[in-house]
Amino acid sequence: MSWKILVSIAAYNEERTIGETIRRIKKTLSNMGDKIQYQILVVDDGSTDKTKEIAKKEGVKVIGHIINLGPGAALRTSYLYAARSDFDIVVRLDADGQHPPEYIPHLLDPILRGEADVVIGSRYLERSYKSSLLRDLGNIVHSKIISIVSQQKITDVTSGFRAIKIEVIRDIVKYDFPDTPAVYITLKKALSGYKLKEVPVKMYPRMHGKSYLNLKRLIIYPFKTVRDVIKTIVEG
Amino acid sequence: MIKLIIPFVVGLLLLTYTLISYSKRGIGRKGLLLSLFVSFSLIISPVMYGVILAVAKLLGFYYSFVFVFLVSILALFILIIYIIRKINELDNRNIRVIQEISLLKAEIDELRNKHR
Repeated sequence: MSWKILVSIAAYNEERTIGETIRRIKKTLSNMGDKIQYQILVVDDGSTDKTKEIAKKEGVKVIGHIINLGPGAALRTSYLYAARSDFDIVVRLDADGQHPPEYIPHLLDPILRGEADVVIGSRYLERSYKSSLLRDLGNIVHSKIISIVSQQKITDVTSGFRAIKIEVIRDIVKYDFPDTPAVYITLKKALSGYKLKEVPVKMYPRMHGKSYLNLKRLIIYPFKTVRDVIKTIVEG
Repeated sequence: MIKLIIPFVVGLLLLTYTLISYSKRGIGRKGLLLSLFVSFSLIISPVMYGVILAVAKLLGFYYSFVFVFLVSILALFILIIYIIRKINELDNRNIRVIQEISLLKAEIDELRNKHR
């Protein structure tokens, strides 16, 4: 059986890295042979640079937002596309070079073997990533909270490097995602009874451009997490 | 006396403005109900001053205007929460519409390329 994989990249002003990321994904997935068929999707979140043009030149599917809506909305657009197509698994990663595409087979493996519904690439399982103290602390606290609420052990809840079965996507795409969606979506999946698994991955600092999480957003982030936890529990 | 006339006049003005706005479809039903509630409260409060005074005393407010002020602040607070919720709802709707447009546009582009 050949698995149909959608590799989704949400991008906003990533003209300097998007081309290389796409080429690396193609190379990695080509090495997996006939076991999989894949499509690469770039959701351009209203970029003002040449992100869209470069992605199109690389021959991948591009969906463009007419204005910038934020990472949560870009992610939901890619999930909507996947849910309406006939893919089996969606892999999502960042366009800024933080998530090495070479790890995609590691993310896919537990799903292909039927061991998990959602696989999260964790940078903390093997302590392969050094971030700022504030971010590390935030991630540890968030992961602990989500682990307690969901009763599944999660070390890197904010990781956006994931592989997800299409059933899970179809289930959660009915909801509106917050602008920083990782915590909300992870909890939603866990509470819906899906099996989450983490695999160790290496992550790198972004090569170019600015992170969506500036100081102001980092300060607000914990409050938004509380809101997202409540929202998830209320939605059921 | 002037203290009693001012809220009465303001209430009447607000009521007139509300009815004109509603007849011109400037406000919706929910806005109409809220404006009617506020304007009637303003109109009635000077007329039923004694009742307000009694309620204020019953609730432990020595000065009735403190009670009226507190109720107004609470009403404003409720209004703000309602407006925030409404904005959030409209924002989510906008996002959904943009997402659907983006998906449709991508599909049209693909079909166009196929027919070329």
